[in-house]
Parts: sequence; C-alpha cells; structure tokens
Amino acid sequence: MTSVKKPILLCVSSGGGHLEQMLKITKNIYKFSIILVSTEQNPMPDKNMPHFILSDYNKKRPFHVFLGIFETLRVVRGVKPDCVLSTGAAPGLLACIWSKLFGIRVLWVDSVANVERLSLSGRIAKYCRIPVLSQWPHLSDGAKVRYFGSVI
Amino acid sequence: MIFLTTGTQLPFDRIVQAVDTLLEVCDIGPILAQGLPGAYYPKNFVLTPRLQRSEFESTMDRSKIVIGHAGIGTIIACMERGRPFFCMPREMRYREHRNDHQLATLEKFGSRDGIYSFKNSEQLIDLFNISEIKSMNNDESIERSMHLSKWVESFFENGL
Repeated sequence: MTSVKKPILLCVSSGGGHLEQMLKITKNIYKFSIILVSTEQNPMPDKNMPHFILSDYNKKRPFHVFLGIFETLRVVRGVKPDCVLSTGAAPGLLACIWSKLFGIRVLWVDSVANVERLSLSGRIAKYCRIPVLSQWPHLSDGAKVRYFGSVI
Repeated sequence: MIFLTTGTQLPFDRIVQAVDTLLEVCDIGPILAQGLPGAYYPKNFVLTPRLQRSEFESTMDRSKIVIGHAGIGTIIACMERGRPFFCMPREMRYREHRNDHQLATLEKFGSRDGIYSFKNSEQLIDLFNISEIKSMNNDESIERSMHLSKWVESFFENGL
C-alpha cells in the first residue's frame, strides 16, 4: 500500500490569543500535515500535533528579536515546510520573512484583536510583500490586505 | 466556580484589586485566579501565574462565570464554551499593555450576548447582581470561521 504524503504547513504563532486563533484556523485544514511552532510552553490540546517552542519577544526587547532572527531561521531550515502560516506576532513575522526569502508560500493572518489598524508585524509583512489577511472587512484594501472571514 | 484569567504576558493590578474588593462584599463561591504578580497583593485569593493548557481548559469547563482582561484568547474560550464573560480592558495609560487594542476589541465585541465590561469594583459588583446573566455563544461566528479556514487551505493549495 502506498501512502500519499501531505505537504507540510508550518504554523508559527505567539501564545495566548495568537495561538487560540491559529488552532481555530487549522482545526478545519485537512489537506496539509501541520507543524505548530509557538512561544507557549504548555502542551497542545491535541497531543498528536507535532510542535516546537520558540522564545517570545517584541519591539521592547530588541536583543531578543535579534536572537529570534537565528532561531526562526533554524526552525524554517529544519522543518523545510511547503507553506508557512502565522497569526502573529514578532516571532511569526521573522519566520514568514525567512520563508518568503526561501521561496516558500507564506500567509499572514492578522490577529482579530487589531480592529483599528493592522498590527505592526502585519504592516511589516505587507511591506515584505507577504499576502496579508485582516479579520476585519474595513481593514481590507482588496489587494495587499484582504478579508475572507474571521475566527470570531 | 468563578475563573479569573488575566493573560500570561503582563500583570493586571486593577482587575485583581476589583475582584479582591468583590470577594470582601459578596459571597460568590470558590474562585481560581490566574495572573502574574504585580504591585497589588490580593488578600482574599491566591494568584497562580501560569496554568498548563489542560488546566486552563478544565477550569474554563468548570467555571460558571469568567472574569478577565479583554484578550482574544479568553473571548474565544468563553464563546466556545458558552460562558458569561465579565471583562476589563487593559489600558495603555496605566501601563497595562503596549497599546489600547483591548479597548478597541471591546468596542467591537461589547455588544455581543454574554460579554459585560466593567472599569472598577463597583461596576463588577453590579454585574453580579444582574438577575439574568447571559452566556456568550459562537452561533454567528461558525460560518465566518469556517470560511477563513477553507480560504487559507485553498490559498496554500492553489495560490492566490
């Protein structure tokens, strides 16, 4: 019997709400085998889901962001995904930028918490020509930032 | 039981203090409180800094009412389990977060069933005196959520 190997979707998100949103989105994705990378230390609800833990940082911790550049490179090079998805924040952005440079198909889904404007990471993703989805129709510009539903 | 959850990134003294005052004047039964230690030390309960994911979920399952910051993770958890959610947004002017997105979140979601906001202990005590407390639900979001997942899946399969 031959088994067809599904392509690998690498999902990178910070903890808390970012992770909740990632789990909601991936719950209904069946055509990819999902590898989750998160800054949350707690084990995932689905024990069969392979996952790695990343360190957490934001713009207030520039040195950690600097270290994160190498950490996310190691993850992307190690996992060798076919596609990469992030729901934020800074660590996800770095993973997306590396993946984009390696020619991997990337998507940024901005957190539903960003109601008035895209997150800083989302805006940077947009400038790096990474396709961006907002979860609010009024933040869509129909081209670089689009709306196709929300987790809430 | 009542579940107080304030996220794992930053302390949130105002909400801890409001709940502490609530416990002094009302008997609301047992409480489990998750929060990072801040400058205010609660007298009526113990703060647990972090919960394992499984503990967070089982506490959510057992809770009758959830009190927390206006974080998306908590909103989703309350929606999926049909819990009433009493929430206080973190504000930048008190250095409770890096920006004021929780105020904006609440503006968008505050009108949904089962989500009640408060800014101080008096308002929180008033919430416990509402005769019919509604629960959150995810009826209206199931379709939007499925749409997003399926779009993402097809994007990765076929491109834009």
